Amino acid sequence: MMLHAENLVKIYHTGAEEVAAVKGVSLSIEIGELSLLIGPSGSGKTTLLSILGCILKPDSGSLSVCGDEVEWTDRALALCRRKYFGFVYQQFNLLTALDVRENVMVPLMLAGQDGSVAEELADHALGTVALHARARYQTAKLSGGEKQRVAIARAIVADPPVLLADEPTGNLDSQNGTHVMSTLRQLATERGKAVLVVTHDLRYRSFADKIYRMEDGEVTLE
Amino acid sequence: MIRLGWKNLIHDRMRLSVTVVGVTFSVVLMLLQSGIYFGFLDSVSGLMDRSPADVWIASSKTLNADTARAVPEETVLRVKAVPGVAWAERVSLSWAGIHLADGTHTWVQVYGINPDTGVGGPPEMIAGSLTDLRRAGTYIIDEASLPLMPGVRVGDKIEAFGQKIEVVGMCRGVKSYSTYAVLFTSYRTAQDQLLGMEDRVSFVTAKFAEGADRGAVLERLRRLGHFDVYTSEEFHDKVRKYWGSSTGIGLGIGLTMILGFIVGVVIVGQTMYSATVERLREYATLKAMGATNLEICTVIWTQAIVVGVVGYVVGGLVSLGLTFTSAASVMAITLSPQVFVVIFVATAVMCLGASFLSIVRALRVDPATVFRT
Repeated sequence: MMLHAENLVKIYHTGAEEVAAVKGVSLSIEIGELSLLIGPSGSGKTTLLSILGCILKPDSGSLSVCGDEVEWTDRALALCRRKYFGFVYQQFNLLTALDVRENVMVPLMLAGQDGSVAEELADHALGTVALHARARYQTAKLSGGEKQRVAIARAIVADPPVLLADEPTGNLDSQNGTHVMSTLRQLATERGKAVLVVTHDLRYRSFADKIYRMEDGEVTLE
Repeated sequence: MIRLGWKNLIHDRMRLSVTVVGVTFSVVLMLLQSGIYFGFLDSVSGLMDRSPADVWIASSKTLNADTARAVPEETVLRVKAVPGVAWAERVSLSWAGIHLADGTHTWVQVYGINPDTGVGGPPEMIAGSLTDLRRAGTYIIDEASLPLMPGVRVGDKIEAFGQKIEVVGMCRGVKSYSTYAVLFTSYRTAQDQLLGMEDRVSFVTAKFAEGADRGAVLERLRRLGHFDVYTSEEFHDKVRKYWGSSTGIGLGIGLTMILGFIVGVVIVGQTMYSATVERLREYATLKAMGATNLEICTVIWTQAIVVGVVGYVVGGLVSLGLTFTSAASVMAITLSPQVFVVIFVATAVMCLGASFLSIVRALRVDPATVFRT
Protein backbone atom coordinates (compact mmCIF):
# COMPACT_ATOMS: atom_id res chain seq x y z
CA MET A 1 0.00 0.00 0.00
CA MET A 2 1.28 3.43 -0.90
CA LEU A 3 -0.75 5.37 1.64
CA HIS A 4 -2.50 3.81 4.59
CA ALA A 5 -4.41 5.70 7.29
CA GLU A 6 -5.70 3.99 10.40
CA ASN A 7 -8.34 5.43 12.68
CA LEU A 8 -7.41 9.12 12.18
CA VAL A 9 -9.14 11.59 14.51
CA LYS A 10 -8.98 15.38 14.42
CA ILE A 11 -10.95 17.57 16.78
CA TYR A 12 -11.05 21.36 16.59
CA HIS A 13 -11.68 23.33 19.76
CA THR A 14 -13.73 26.48 19.29
CA GLY A 15 -14.03 28.04 22.74
CA ALA A 16 -15.86 25.49 24.86
CA GLU A 17 -17.20 23.72 21.79
CA GLU A 18 -15.48 20.71 20.20
CA VAL A 19 -15.91 19.95 16.52
CA ALA A 20 -14.80 16.52 15.32
CA ALA A 21 -13.66 17.19 11.75
CA VAL A 22 -12.27 13.69 11.23
CA LYS A 23 -13.79 10.78 13.15
CA GLY A 24 -11.76 7.58 13.11
CA VAL A 25 -11.02 7.54 9.39
CA SER A 26 -9.22 4.58 7.87
CA LEU A 27 -8.38 4.31 4.18
CA SER A 28 -5.77 3.02 1.78
CA ILE A 29 -4.54 4.18 -1.60
CA GLU A 30 -2.60 1.79 -3.78
CA ILE A 31 0.12 2.25 -6.37
CA GLY A 32 -1.31 3.23 -9.75
CA GLU A 33 -4.69 4.02 -8.27
CA LEU A 34 -6.73 7.22 -8.54
CA SER A 35 -9.15 7.72 -5.67
CA LEU A 36 -11.74 10.41 -5.29
CA LEU A 37 -12.73 11.87 -1.95
CA ILE A 38 -16.14 13.44 -2.32
CA GLY A 39 -18.52 15.02 0.09
CA PRO A 40 -20.38 18.23 0.90
CA SER A 41 -18.71 21.41 2.14
CA GLY A 42 -17.74 21.20 5.80
CA SER A 43 -17.62 17.41 5.80
CA GLY A 44 -13.91 17.41 6.74
CA LYS A 45 -12.38 16.61 3.31
CA THR A 46 -9.71 19.31 3.45
CA THR A 47 -8.81 18.47 7.04
CA LEU A 48 -8.40 14.82 6.10
CA LEU A 49 -6.34 15.74 3.04
CA SER A 50 -4.09 17.93 5.21
CA ILE A 51 -3.51 15.01 7.59
CA LEU A 52 -2.89 12.53 4.78
CA GLY A 53 -0.43 15.02 3.24
CA CYS A 54 1.50 15.33 6.53
CA ILE A 55 0.59 19.01 6.78
CA LEU A 56 -1.70 18.72 9.79
CA LYS A 57 -1.16 16.55 12.88
CA PRO A 58 -4.11 14.33 13.90
CA ASP A 59 -5.16 14.00 17.52
CA SER A 60 -4.89 10.23 17.21
CA GLY A 61 -4.48 7.52 14.64
CA SER A 62 -1.60 6.48 12.42
CA LEU A 63 -0.45 7.02 8.88
CA SER A 64 2.10 5.18 6.80
CA VAL A 65 3.50 6.22 3.44
CA CYS A 66 5.34 3.66 1.30
CA GLY A 67 5.45 1.44 4.36
CA ASP A 68 7.10 4.09 6.57
CA GLU A 69 5.19 5.04 9.68
CA VAL A 70 4.80 8.84 9.85
CA GLU A 71 6.40 10.49 12.88
CA TRP A 72 4.36 13.54 13.90
CA THR A 73 7.20 16.01 14.55
CA ASP A 74 7.51 19.22 12.52
CA ARG A 75 10.87 18.25 11.05
CA ALA A 76 9.81 14.69 10.20
CA LEU A 77 6.60 15.96 8.61
CA ALA A 78 8.49 18.48 6.46
CA LEU A 79 10.87 15.74 5.28
CA CYS A 80 7.91 13.44 4.65
CA ARG A 81 6.15 16.06 2.49
CA ARG A 82 9.31 16.67 0.52
CA LYS A 83 9.99 12.98 -0.05
CA TYR A 84 6.60 11.44 -0.69
CA PHE A 85 4.07 14.04 -1.82
CA GLY A 86 3.17 16.24 -4.71
CA PHE A 87 0.33 18.70 -4.13
CA VAL A 88 -2.14 20.25 -6.55
CA TYR A 89 -4.39 23.01 -5.25
CA GLN A 90 -7.62 24.65 -6.35
CA GLN A 91 -5.90 28.07 -6.26
CA PHE A 92 -2.80 26.72 -8.09
CA ASN A 93 -0.51 28.44 -5.55
CA LEU A 94 2.21 29.25 -8.07
CA LEU A 95 4.98 31.61 -7.02
CA THR A 96 4.32 34.89 -8.81
CA ALA A 97 7.92 36.04 -9.05
CA LEU A 98 9.06 32.90 -10.83
CA ASP A 99 8.45 31.93 -14.43
CA VAL A 100 6.83 28.65 -15.39
CA ARG A 101 10.02 26.58 -15.45
CA GLU A 102 11.28 28.06 -12.18
CA ASN A 103 7.95 27.26 -10.51
CA VAL A 104 8.27 23.68 -11.57
CA MET A 105 11.86 23.60 -10.29
CA VAL A 106 10.93 24.63 -6.73
CA PRO A 107 10.65 21.07 -5.30
CA LEU A 108 14.03 20.31 -6.88
CA MET A 109 15.54 23.45 -5.35
CA LEU A 110 14.22 22.33 -1.97
CA ALA A 111 15.90 18.98 -2.57
CA GLY A 112 19.17 20.81 -3.26
CA GLN A 113 19.05 20.37 -7.04
CA ASP A 114 19.59 23.41 -9.20
CA GLY A 115 21.18 24.25 -12.51
CA SER A 116 20.90 22.46 -15.83
CA VAL A 117 19.85 19.06 -14.42
CA ALA A 118 16.93 20.68 -12.58
CA GLU A 119 16.00 22.62 -15.73
CA GLU A 120 15.97 19.42 -17.76
CA LEU A 121 13.75 17.69 -15.21
CA ALA A 122 11.43 20.71 -15.14
CA ASP A 123 11.20 20.77 -18.92
CA HIS A 124 10.45 17.05 -18.92
CA ALA A 125 7.65 17.57 -16.37
CA LEU A 126 6.30 20.44 -18.45
CA GLY A 127 6.38 18.16 -21.47
CA THR A 128 4.19 15.70 -19.57
CA VAL A 129 1.49 18.37 -19.22
CA ALA A 130 2.10 19.72 -22.76
CA LEU A 131 3.42 23.08 -21.55
CA HIS A 132 7.02 22.87 -22.66
CA ALA A 133 6.54 25.83 -24.98
CA ARG A 134 5.50 28.04 -22.05
CA ALA A 135 8.62 27.38 -19.96
CA ARG A 136 9.82 31.01 -19.91
CA TYR A 137 6.38 32.55 -19.49
CA GLN A 138 5.42 34.47 -16.39
CA THR A 139 2.62 32.57 -14.66
CA ALA A 140 0.38 35.66 -14.66
CA LYS A 141 0.13 35.32 -18.45
CA LEU A 142 -1.24 31.77 -18.32
CA SER A 143 -4.88 30.69 -18.41
CA GLY A 144 -6.39 28.89 -15.41
CA GLY A 145 -6.06 25.52 -17.11
CA GLU A 146 -2.43 26.18 -17.96
CA LYS A 147 -1.70 27.28 -14.40
CA GLN A 148 -3.15 24.05 -13.08
CA ARG A 149 -1.03 22.05 -15.50
CA VAL A 150 2.04 23.94 -14.28
CA ALA A 151 1.01 23.02 -10.74
CA ILE A 152 0.75 19.36 -11.79
CA ALA A 153 4.20 19.55 -13.41
CA ARG A 154 5.52 21.01 -10.15
CA ALA A 155 3.84 18.21 -8.19
CA ILE A 156 5.46 15.46 -10.25
CA VAL A 157 8.88 16.94 -11.05
CA ALA A 158 10.61 15.37 -8.05
CA ASP A 159 8.87 12.06 -8.82
CA PRO A 160 6.95 11.67 -5.53
CA PRO A 161 4.95 8.42 -5.16
CA VAL A 162 1.77 10.16 -3.94
CA LEU A 163 -0.18 13.03 -5.51
CA LEU A 164 -2.79 14.83 -3.43
CA ALA A 165 -5.10 17.21 -5.26
CA ASP A 166 -7.56 19.53 -3.56
CA GLU A 167 -10.40 20.53 -5.89
CA PRO A 168 -8.00 20.70 -8.87
CA THR A 169 -10.85 21.44 -11.25
CA GLY A 170 -12.61 23.89 -8.97
CA ASN A 171 -11.45 26.99 -10.86
CA LEU A 172 -11.56 25.51 -14.34
CA ASP A 173 -14.16 25.16 -17.07
CA SER A 174 -15.31 21.64 -17.90
CA GLN A 175 -12.92 21.22 -20.84
CA ASN A 176 -9.86 22.22 -18.80
CA GLY A 177 -11.20 20.26 -15.80
CA THR A 178 -11.45 17.12 -17.88
CA HIS A 179 -7.94 17.72 -19.24
CA VAL A 180 -6.54 18.02 -15.71
CA MET A 181 -8.36 14.88 -14.52
CA SER A 182 -7.11 12.99 -17.58
CA THR A 183 -3.56 14.02 -16.77
CA LEU A 184 -3.92 12.84 -13.17
CA ARG A 185 -5.45 9.56 -14.34
CA GLN A 186 -2.53 9.11 -16.75
CA LEU A 187 0.00 9.75 -13.97
CA ALA A 188 -1.63 7.02 -11.88
CA THR A 189 -1.84 4.51 -14.70
CA GLU A 190 1.39 5.15 -16.56
CA ARG A 191 3.68 6.36 -13.80
CA GLY A 192 2.30 4.31 -10.93
CA LYS A 193 1.43 7.27 -8.76
CA ALA A 194 -1.08 6.93 -5.96
CA VAL A 195 -3.48 9.82 -6.59
CA LEU A 196 -6.11 11.14 -4.23
CA VAL A 197 -8.38 13.87 -5.57
CA VAL A 198 -10.73 15.83 -3.33
CA THR A 199 -13.68 17.07 -5.34
CA HIS A 200 -17.33 17.86 -5.09
CA ASP A 201 -17.79 17.50 -8.83
CA LEU A 202 -19.34 14.09 -9.48
CA ARG A 203 -18.80 14.38 -13.25
CA TYR A 204 -15.28 13.04 -12.71
CA ARG A 205 -16.36 9.76 -11.08
CA SER A 206 -15.41 7.89 -14.21
CA PHE A 207 -11.71 8.71 -13.74
CA ALA A 208 -11.60 6.99 -10.34
CA ASP A 209 -10.64 3.50 -9.26
CA LYS A 210 -12.10 4.12 -5.81
CA ILE A 211 -14.49 6.70 -4.43
CA TYR A 212 -14.48 7.63 -0.78
CA ARG A 213 -17.48 9.56 0.47
CA MET A 214 -17.02 11.80 3.48
CA GLU A 215 -19.82 13.12 5.63
CA ASP A 216 -19.67 14.62 9.11
CA GLY A 217 -16.05 13.53 9.51
CA GLU A 218 -16.65 9.91 8.60
CA VAL A 219 -15.49 8.18 5.43
CA THR A 220 -17.16 5.33 3.60
CA LEU A 221 -15.96 3.50 0.50
CA GLU A 222 -18.56 3.51 -2.26
CA MET B 1 16.04 29.62 -2.10
CA ILE B 2 18.51 32.41 -2.76
CA ARG B 3 17.19 32.45 -6.32
CA LEU B 4 13.61 32.77 -5.06
CA GLY B 5 14.59 35.60 -2.70
CA TRP B 6 16.28 37.43 -5.56
CA LYS B 7 13.32 36.88 -7.91
CA ASN B 8 10.85 38.05 -5.26
CA LEU B 9 12.90 41.20 -4.89
CA ILE B 10 13.18 42.15 -8.56
CA HIS B 11 9.59 41.16 -9.28
CA ASP B 12 8.32 44.28 -7.54
CA ARG B 13 10.74 46.93 -8.78
CA MET B 14 8.90 49.89 -7.32
CA ARG B 15 9.08 48.41 -3.84
CA LEU B 16 12.72 47.47 -4.43
CA SER B 17 13.50 51.05 -5.48
CA VAL B 18 11.81 52.51 -2.39
CA THR B 19 13.70 50.12 -0.13
CA VAL B 20 17.05 50.80 -1.78
CA VAL B 21 16.44 54.57 -1.58
CA GLY B 22 15.66 54.13 2.12
CA VAL B 23 18.85 52.19 2.74
CA THR B 24 20.83 54.65 0.62
CA PHE B 25 19.47 57.59 2.60
CA SER B 26 20.32 55.85 5.84
CA VAL B 27 23.84 54.92 4.66
CA VAL B 28 24.53 58.46 3.40
CA LEU B 29 23.35 59.90 6.70
CA MET B 30 25.46 57.52 8.75
CA LEU B 31 28.53 57.83 6.52
CA LEU B 32 28.45 61.62 6.24
CA GLN B 33 27.80 62.11 9.94
CA SER B 34 30.72 59.78 10.70
CA GLY B 35 32.79 61.61 8.11
CA ILE B 36 31.91 65.00 9.56
CA TYR B 37 32.69 63.76 13.07
CA PHE B 38 36.07 62.34 12.14
CA GLY B 39 36.76 65.29 9.85
CA PHE B 40 36.08 67.56 12.78
CA LEU B 41 38.36 65.52 15.04
CA ASP B 42 41.06 65.58 12.35
CA SER B 43 40.72 69.37 12.30
CA VAL B 44 41.06 69.73 16.05
CA SER B 45 44.12 67.47 16.14
CA GLY B 46 45.47 68.77 12.83
CA LEU B 47 48.12 70.88 14.51
CA MET B 48 49.69 67.78 16.08
CA ASP B 49 49.12 65.57 13.06
CA ARG B 50 50.89 67.81 10.56
CA SER B 51 53.83 68.52 12.86
CA PRO B 52 56.97 66.36 12.86
CA ALA B 53 57.40 66.98 16.61
CA ASP B 54 57.46 64.10 19.11
CA VAL B 55 56.68 66.16 22.20
CA TRP B 56 54.26 68.98 23.01
CA ILE B 57 54.77 71.20 26.01
CA ALA B 58 51.86 73.37 27.11
CA SER B 59 50.79 75.29 30.18
CA SER B 60 49.75 73.10 33.09
CA LYS B 61 46.17 71.77 33.29
CA THR B 62 45.60 72.30 29.59
CA LEU B 63 42.21 70.89 28.55
CA ASN B 64 42.84 71.08 24.82
CA ALA B 65 44.91 72.97 22.28
CA ASP B 66 42.51 75.94 22.19
CA THR B 67 42.48 76.61 25.88
CA ALA B 68 46.24 76.37 26.44
CA ARG B 69 47.56 79.46 28.20
CA ALA B 70 50.63 80.91 26.56
CA VAL B 71 54.02 80.03 28.07
CA PRO B 72 57.12 82.27 28.13
CA GLU B 73 59.05 82.07 24.88
CA GLU B 74 62.27 81.37 26.74
CA THR B 75 60.82 77.92 27.54
CA VAL B 76 61.99 76.85 24.09
CA LEU B 77 65.61 77.47 25.12
CA ARG B 78 65.19 75.41 28.28
CA VAL B 79 63.66 72.55 26.26
CA LYS B 80 66.50 72.68 23.72
CA ALA B 81 68.97 72.35 26.53
CA VAL B 82 67.48 69.09 27.80
CA PRO B 83 69.66 66.10 26.92
CA GLY B 84 67.96 63.85 24.35
CA VAL B 85 66.17 66.72 22.58
CA ALA B 86 67.20 67.12 18.94
CA TRP B 87 65.37 70.39 18.39
CA ALA B 88 62.62 72.52 19.90
CA GLU B 89 60.26 74.92 18.21
CA ARG B 90 57.62 77.52 19.04
CA VAL B 91 54.01 77.35 17.94
CA SER B 92 51.29 79.79 18.85
CA LEU B 93 47.55 79.64 18.42
CA SER B 94 45.24 82.59 18.97
CA TRP B 95 42.09 84.29 17.71
CA ALA B 96 41.43 87.80 16.56
CA GLY B 97 38.93 89.99 14.73
CA ILE B 98 39.49 91.31 11.21
CA HIS B 99 37.82 94.09 9.19
CA LEU B 100 37.49 93.32 5.50
CA ALA B 101 37.47 95.98 2.78
CA ASP B 102 33.69 95.79 2.39
CA GLY B 103 33.23 96.49 6.10
CA THR B 104 32.62 92.89 7.10
CA HIS B 105 33.97 91.97 10.50
CA THR B 106 35.05 88.39 10.93
CA TRP B 107 37.11 86.24 13.25
CA VAL B 108 40.24 84.35 12.40
CA GLN B 109 42.20 81.54 13.96
CA VAL B 110 45.90 82.35 13.67
CA TYR B 111 48.75 79.84 13.87
CA GLY B 112 52.14 81.39 14.65
CA ILE B 113 55.04 79.28 13.39
CA ASN B 114 58.71 79.55 12.64
CA PRO B 115 58.82 80.23 8.86
CA ASP B 116 62.33 78.82 8.63
CA THR B 117 61.41 75.36 9.97
CA GLY B 118 57.72 75.26 9.08
CA VAL B 119 56.94 73.21 12.21
CA GLY B 120 53.15 73.39 12.78
CA GLY B 121 52.70 75.02 9.41
CA PRO B 122 50.38 74.11 6.54
CA PRO B 123 50.95 70.83 4.69
CA GLU B 124 50.79 72.35 1.21
CA MET B 125 51.37 75.83 -0.27
CA ILE B 126 49.46 76.73 -3.43
CA ALA B 127 50.60 80.36 -3.67
CA GLY B 128 53.60 82.09 -2.12
CA SER B 129 56.05 80.52 0.30
CA LEU B 130 56.35 80.00 4.04
CA THR B 131 59.54 82.04 4.03
CA ASP B 132 57.43 85.04 2.97
CA LEU B 133 56.28 85.08 6.58
CA ARG B 134 59.74 86.25 7.67
CA ARG B 135 58.56 89.77 6.91
CA ALA B 136 56.64 91.30 9.79
CA GLY B 137 52.88 91.65 9.39
CA THR B 138 52.53 88.96 6.71
CA TYR B 139 49.96 86.17 6.70
CA ILE B 140 49.00 83.08 4.69
CA ILE B 141 45.37 82.06 4.30
CA ASP B 142 44.04 78.55 3.75
CA GLU B 143 41.95 78.22 0.58
CA ALA B 144 39.10 76.54 2.49
CA SER B 145 38.76 79.76 4.53
CA LEU B 146 38.20 82.01 1.51
CA PRO B 147 34.38 81.79 1.81
CA LEU B 148 34.77 83.12 5.36
CA MET B 149 36.80 86.09 4.12
CA PRO B 150 35.04 87.00 0.89
CA GLY B 151 37.04 89.01 -1.61
CA VAL B 152 40.42 88.43 0.02
CA ARG B 153 43.25 87.59 -2.40
CA VAL B 154 46.98 87.04 -2.16
CA GLY B 155 48.65 90.45 -2.08
CA ASP B 156 45.76 92.18 -0.32
CA LYS B 157 46.43 94.42 2.62
CA ILE B 158 43.63 94.37 5.10
CA GLU B 159 42.92 95.88 8.45
CA ALA B 160 43.25 93.49 11.33
CA PHE B 161 43.59 93.95 15.06
CA GLY B 162 43.92 97.70 14.52
CA GLN B 163 46.87 97.26 12.14
CA LYS B 164 47.46 96.65 8.43
CA ILE B 165 48.35 93.07 7.57
CA GLU B 166 49.37 91.60 4.22
CA VAL B 167 48.19 88.29 2.72
CA VAL B 168 51.33 86.86 1.07
CA GLY B 169 50.32 83.30 0.31
CA MET B 170 47.68 80.64 0.20
CA CYS B 171 47.85 77.12 1.57
CA ARG B 172 45.73 73.99 1.40
CA GLY B 173 44.78 71.25 3.83
CA VAL B 174 43.95 73.04 7.07
CA LYS B 175 40.24 73.16 7.80
CA SER B 176 38.80 75.24 10.55
CA TYR B 177 36.86 73.38 13.21
CA SER B 178 35.02 76.55 14.16
CA THR B 179 33.39 79.21 12.04
CA TYR B 180 36.70 81.10 11.92
CA ALA B 181 39.01 81.48 8.94
CA VAL B 182 42.48 79.94 9.28
CA LEU B 183 45.59 82.12 8.91
CA PHE B 184 49.29 81.37 9.38
CA THR B 185 51.92 83.88 10.37
CA SER B 186 55.33 83.84 12.02
CA TYR B 187 55.35 83.48 15.78
CA ARG B 188 57.16 86.84 15.87
CA THR B 189 54.31 88.59 14.04
CA ALA B 190 51.84 86.83 16.32
CA GLN B 191 53.73 88.11 19.34
CA ASP B 192 53.81 91.63 17.90
CA GLN B 193 50.22 91.86 16.68
CA LEU B 194 48.03 89.49 18.68
CA LEU B 195 46.67 90.14 22.11
CA GLY B 196 48.24 88.16 24.94
CA MET B 197 51.12 86.76 22.90
CA GLU B 198 53.84 89.28 23.79
CA ASP B 199 57.07 87.27 24.38
CA ARG B 200 54.98 84.18 24.73
CA VAL B 201 54.05 81.12 22.66
CA SER B 202 51.17 78.66 23.03
CA PHE B 203 53.27 75.53 22.78
CA VAL B 204 56.83 74.40 22.62
CA THR B 205 57.30 71.34 20.47
CA ALA B 206 60.37 69.13 20.43
CA LYS B 207 61.91 66.18 18.65
CA PHE B 208 63.68 63.32 20.39
CA ALA B 209 67.32 62.95 19.46
CA GLU B 210 68.09 59.73 17.62
CA GLY B 211 68.69 56.89 20.06
CA ALA B 212 67.48 58.92 23.04
CA ASP B 213 65.66 57.18 25.88
CA ARG B 214 62.23 58.71 25.29
CA GLY B 215 60.92 57.98 28.76
CA ALA B 216 63.95 59.61 30.35
CA VAL B 217 63.69 62.67 28.08
CA LEU B 218 60.02 63.11 28.92
CA GLU B 219 60.86 62.83 32.62
CA ARG B 220 63.52 65.53 32.29
CA LEU B 221 61.09 67.77 30.42
CA ARG B 222 58.47 67.32 33.14
CA ARG B 223 61.01 68.53 35.72
CA LEU B 224 61.41 71.84 33.85
CA GLY B 225 58.50 73.45 35.66
CA HIS B 226 54.74 73.74 35.74
CA PHE B 227 54.10 72.47 32.26
CA ASP B 228 52.05 69.68 30.74
CA VAL B 229 54.31 67.45 28.67
CA TYR B 230 52.72 65.15 26.14
CA THR B 231 53.93 62.93 23.37
CA SER B 232 52.32 63.82 20.05
CA GLU B 233 50.05 60.77 20.32
CA GLU B 234 48.97 61.73 23.83
CA PHE B 235 48.19 65.31 22.86
CA HIS B 236 46.42 64.12 19.70
CA ASP B 237 44.26 61.77 21.76
CA LYS B 238 43.64 64.38 24.47
CA VAL B 239 42.22 67.05 22.17
CA ARG B 240 40.15 64.55 20.19
CA LYS B 241 38.75 63.06 23.38
CA TYR B 242 37.93 66.52 24.70
CA TRP B 243 36.03 67.59 21.60
CA GLY B 244 34.52 64.18 20.96
CA SER B 245 33.37 63.35 24.50
CA SER B 246 33.41 66.43 26.70
CA THR B 247 31.40 68.62 24.36
CA GLY B 248 27.96 67.88 22.90
CA ILE B 249 29.39 67.48 19.41
CA GLY B 250 29.99 63.73 19.60
CA LEU B 251 26.60 63.16 21.19
CA GLY B 252 24.80 65.31 18.63
CA ILE B 253 26.42 63.58 15.68
CA GLY B 254 25.94 60.19 17.32
CA LEU B 255 22.22 60.87 17.74
CA THR B 256 21.92 61.83 14.08
CA MET B 257 23.65 58.57 13.12
CA ILE B 258 21.25 56.61 15.31
CA LEU B 259 18.38 58.46 13.66
CA GLY B 260 19.73 57.43 10.24
CA PHE B 261 19.94 53.85 11.44
CA ILE B 262 16.37 53.93 12.74
CA VAL B 263 15.08 55.47 9.50
CA GLY B 264 16.75 52.62 7.62
CA VAL B 265 15.28 49.97 9.93
CA VAL B 266 11.80 51.46 9.59
CA ILE B 267 11.88 51.75 5.79
CA VAL B 268 13.44 48.34 5.17
CA GLY B 269 11.31 46.70 7.85
CA GLN B 270 8.07 48.23 6.61
CA THR B 271 8.61 47.43 2.93
CA MET B 272 9.87 43.91 3.60
CA TYR B 273 7.06 43.18 6.01
CA SER B 274 4.38 44.31 3.58
CA ALA B 275 6.02 42.24 0.82
CA THR B 276 6.06 39.21 3.12
CA VAL B 277 2.41 39.63 4.09
CA GLU B 278 1.47 39.80 0.41
CA ARG B 279 3.30 36.53 -0.19
CA LEU B 280 2.17 34.64 2.90
CA ARG B 281 0.31 32.12 0.77
CA GLU B 282 3.48 31.50 -1.20
CA TYR B 283 5.44 30.89 1.99
CA ALA B 284 2.68 28.50 3.07
CA THR B 285 3.03 26.72 -0.28
CA LEU B 286 6.78 26.39 0.23
CA LYS B 287 6.20 24.98 3.71
CA ALA B 288 3.61 22.54 2.34
CA MET B 289 6.25 21.37 -0.12
CA GLY B 290 8.56 20.68 2.82
CA ALA B 291 10.62 23.88 3.01
CA THR B 292 12.40 24.14 6.35
CA ASN B 293 12.43 27.26 8.52
CA LEU B 294 16.01 27.90 7.45
CA GLU B 295 14.98 27.82 3.80
CA ILE B 296 12.14 30.27 4.46
CA CYS B 297 14.59 32.52 6.33
CA THR B 298 17.03 32.25 3.42
CA VAL B 299 14.41 33.70 1.04
CA ILE B 300 13.88 36.72 3.29
CA TRP B 301 17.53 37.15 4.28
CA THR B 302 18.51 37.15 0.61
CA GLN B 303 16.18 40.09 0.03
CA ALA B 304 17.51 41.90 3.11
CA ILE B 305 21.13 41.35 2.13
CA VAL B 306 20.61 42.42 -1.48
CA VAL B 307 18.85 45.68 -0.57
CA GLY B 308 21.50 46.24 2.11
CA VAL B 309 24.42 45.73 -0.27
CA VAL B 310 22.87 47.75 -3.12
CA GLY B 311 21.84 50.56 -0.74
CA TYR B 312 25.28 50.51 0.84
CA VAL B 313 27.11 50.69 -2.48
CA VAL B 314 24.88 53.51 -3.79
CA GLY B 315 25.05 55.32 -0.44
CA GLY B 316 28.82 54.88 -0.33
CA LEU B 317 29.24 56.32 -3.82
CA VAL B 318 26.93 59.25 -3.04
CA SER B 319 28.87 59.94 0.16
CA LEU B 320 32.21 59.76 -1.62
CA GLY B 321 30.88 62.15 -4.27
CA LEU B 322 29.68 64.61 -1.63
CA THR B 323 32.98 64.31 0.22
CA PHE B 324 34.90 64.94 -2.98
CA THR B 325 32.84 67.98 -3.90
CA SER B 326 33.20 69.39 -0.39
CA ALA B 327 36.99 68.95 -0.37
CA ALA B 328 37.65 72.61 -1.07
CA SER B 329 34.94 73.85 1.26
CA VAL B 330 35.26 74.88 4.86
CA MET B 331 33.75 71.58 6.02
CA ALA B 332 36.09 68.71 6.75
CA ILE B 333 34.76 65.23 5.98
CA THR B 334 37.01 62.25 6.63
CA LEU B 335 35.82 58.90 5.30
CA SER B 336 38.37 56.29 6.25
CA PRO B 337 38.23 52.60 5.26
CA GLN B 338 37.43 51.82 8.91
CA VAL B 339 34.35 54.07 8.75
CA PHE B 340 33.18 52.23 5.63
CA VAL B 341 33.65 48.88 7.34
CA VAL B 342 31.75 49.98 10.46
CA ILE B 343 28.88 51.45 8.43
CA PHE B 344 28.75 48.29 6.31
CA VAL B 345 28.33 46.23 9.47
CA ALA B 346 25.70 48.70 10.71
CA THR B 347 23.85 48.42 7.37
CA ALA B 348 23.96 44.62 7.51
CA VAL B 349 22.64 44.65 11.08
CA MET B 350 19.99 47.19 10.05
CA CYS B 351 18.71 45.14 7.10
CA LEU B 352 18.87 41.75 8.81
CA GLY B 353 17.30 43.22 11.95
CA ALA B 354 14.57 44.85 9.88
CA SER B 355 13.73 41.46 8.37
CA PHE B 356 13.04 39.98 11.81
CA LEU B 357 9.30 40.67 11.84
CA SER B 358 8.96 39.41 8.27
CA ILE B 359 10.67 36.18 9.24
CA VAL B 360 8.50 35.73 12.31
CA ARG B 361 5.39 36.27 10.18
CA ALA B 362 6.52 33.89 7.43
CA LEU B 363 7.56 31.16 9.87
CA ARG B 364 4.24 31.35 11.69
CA VAL B 365 2.16 30.80 8.58
CA ASP B 366 0.27 27.52 8.69
CA PRO B 367 1.01 25.37 5.62
CA ALA B 368 -2.55 24.07 5.82
CA THR B 369 -3.73 27.48 4.57
CA VAL B 370 -2.73 26.38 1.06
CA PHE B 371 -5.95 24.38 0.89
CA ARG B 372 -8.13 27.37 1.73
CA THR B 373 -9.71 29.30 -1.09
